[in-house]
Amino acid sequence: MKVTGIGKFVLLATVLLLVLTSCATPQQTQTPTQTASPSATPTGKKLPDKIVVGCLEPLTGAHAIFGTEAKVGMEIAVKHINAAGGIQSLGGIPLELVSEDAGETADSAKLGAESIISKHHPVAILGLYISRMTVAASEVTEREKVILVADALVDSVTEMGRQYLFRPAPKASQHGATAVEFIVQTASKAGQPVQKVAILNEDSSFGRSNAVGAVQAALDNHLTVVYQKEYPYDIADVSSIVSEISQAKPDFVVHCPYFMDAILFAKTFREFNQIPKFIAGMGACGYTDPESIKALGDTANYYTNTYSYNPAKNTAQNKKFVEDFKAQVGHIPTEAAGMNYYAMWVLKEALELSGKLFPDDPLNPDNLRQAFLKLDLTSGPAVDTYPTNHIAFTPTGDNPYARAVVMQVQNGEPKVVWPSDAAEAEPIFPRPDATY
Amino acid sequence: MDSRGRVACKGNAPESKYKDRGKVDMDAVIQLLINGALMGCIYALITLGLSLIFGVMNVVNFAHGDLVMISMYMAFWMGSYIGLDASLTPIITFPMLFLLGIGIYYALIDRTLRQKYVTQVAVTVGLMTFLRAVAQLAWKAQPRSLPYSLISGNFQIGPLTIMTSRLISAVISILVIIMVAVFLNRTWPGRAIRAVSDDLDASSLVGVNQKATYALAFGLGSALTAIAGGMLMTFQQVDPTMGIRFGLLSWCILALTGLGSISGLLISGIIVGIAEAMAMGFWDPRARLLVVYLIFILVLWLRPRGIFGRK
Repeated sequence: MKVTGIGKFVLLATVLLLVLTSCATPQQTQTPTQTASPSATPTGKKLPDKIVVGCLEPLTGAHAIFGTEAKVGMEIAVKHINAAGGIQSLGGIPLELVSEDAGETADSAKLGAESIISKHHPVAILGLYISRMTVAASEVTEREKVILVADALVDSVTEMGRQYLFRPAPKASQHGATAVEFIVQTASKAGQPVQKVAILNEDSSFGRSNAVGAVQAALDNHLTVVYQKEYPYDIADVSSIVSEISQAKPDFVVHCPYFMDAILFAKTFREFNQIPKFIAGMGACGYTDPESIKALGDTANYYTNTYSYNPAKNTAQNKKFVEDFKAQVGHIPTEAAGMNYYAMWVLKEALELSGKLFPDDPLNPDNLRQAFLKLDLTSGPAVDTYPTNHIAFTPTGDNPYARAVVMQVQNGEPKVVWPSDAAEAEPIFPRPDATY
Repeated sequence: MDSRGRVACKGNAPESKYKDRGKVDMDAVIQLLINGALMGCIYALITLGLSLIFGVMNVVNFAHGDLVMISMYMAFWMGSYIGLDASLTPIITFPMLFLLGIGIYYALIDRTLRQKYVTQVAVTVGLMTFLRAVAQLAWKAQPRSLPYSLISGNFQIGPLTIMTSRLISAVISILVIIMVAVFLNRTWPGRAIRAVSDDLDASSLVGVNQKATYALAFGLGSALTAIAGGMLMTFQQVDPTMGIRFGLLSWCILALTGLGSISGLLISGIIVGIAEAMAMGFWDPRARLLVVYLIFILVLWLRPRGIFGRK
């Protein structure tokens, strides 16, 4: 083979480059930099400079209200984790958050999952708040073996046999049960026991899951369900439902609304002036969130809802999060933000554990999955911001120690009122404006 | 327990008071009739605007419901920043929506009048999406509502509860519908609108400015949504996606009425409102739209020109 003049030059340049590179490498590893140490595992497998985590939330469309705040929660968590030294078992590798809009449909969620994985190769994805979108996106994360830390609460999300899906937050039926148990205990404490309950829910799978939990808790507590109704969340007029409830005369109503229907129901209850002893929300949508309180004014008072996050939890980590969130957004963290804040910390703990258990390949999805399953957290920043003090995962991906908290609007401010050991105020029961 | 959690309480939860053990509670039925009829009057007012635009220009305005949504947001703004009660906001929003309607006519509709039908549909569907996106940008996805209204409350007539906001909204809707009927029948611009609607060529021959009349009709049709939007905000909330609800509902009422009868429009609105309320009370809240669209399909099938239609 004849080598031309140009060919000789290229060959020479390549050899020179290789020699220079081989000389430079030891020099670089000897340089004491902050990011040099985490670049390799004990067996020499190269680790990335940053661990990429995906934020796949509905950032546009009808569900953007949740997605945008969830993203802020994740951003603050990443900032706090990196400020605390990153993933220490991996030599302090920082996290990097990349985000993608999941849109508002199952198809757009699936496309979003495909896009974020192919563009950024994240080790884990947090999202997607809406259950049907989570189910769709989890088909992709499962196929691509990417851990999905879900913030969608419908029970069935973790009942599909997904291997790489984990949900730290309490599921929807636990919210429904919490709402009923809260009222039964509070009423009993107030010396006004309740017997008859009306159960209302919007007709999505989320509303149904909540109602299932509420019905089960009502039966467990020997209550009589005197009225039950499922309705579409975009209902235009609820006066006939409110009038039916007033005729059924329940002691209390438990209601899983979406946002707009919660406003409509609260206004109609007020205008009809047929108000039972208590109206409790379940599932964290409507009644007690900042926007609903603003929209309802005084009418929001005494309404409660169940939450997967306790903004009043008295820990330094939680206070820091609440302060940072308030400084950035202007109000206390909503459920979506809180759930994703602690979910990011749970992921951080899993990465730490994976680094310890599988030092040769800590970011391998199967190893990371094993680390999730072996987590048993009773302290630390994740627990400090979690509604209970225990985080672990069953093989289906749920936390068996999860529990919701109850917030009540008192003088226009949402206050955590239950469980009493995590409360910042006493619940007001019965409603002072009750008419029957 | 099934996936809906209903079986668990089957033994002790009456589904509805209205059909308990085959008996019909007449008070409850009358209550439903009243609730439905009051809402129906507001639906009729919304449809009147659509009817003017469709009847005069033969333009299928898919964005009409979204104009209601924009009107509701404007009422929300007036209520939040000026402190004006929602029921009074049409004083300001009516001329604003009138000008917006005229602007939309000259910017979009006028250019498509001589185009194919599908172009008009594409333009108004585009406008619908545009208005929704503007609302989402301006007010975000959260539902907005005014916490107070001068006309909230209720009064009792025997066992019946009449909600003041619905009653006053219905009365104002009827008054506005009558005023529009007087305007169309007794004033020169109103007669011009009717003339253009009946025979474009003949009206041109007698000196009616077709373009200005079209703009007036589109402006008036849009401005009527300001009154409906203001009244709805006294007891409802608004979100960027709710326009389609009013848009489709008003199309159903228009199909039921046909073109050319304002009193027929009011009756059709009340029929749809009552059908909605009855479906929710006797059957299931999710059956509300099923019943409305069933009426829509039946009318299109049996009497395509509507029950009260002149043409």
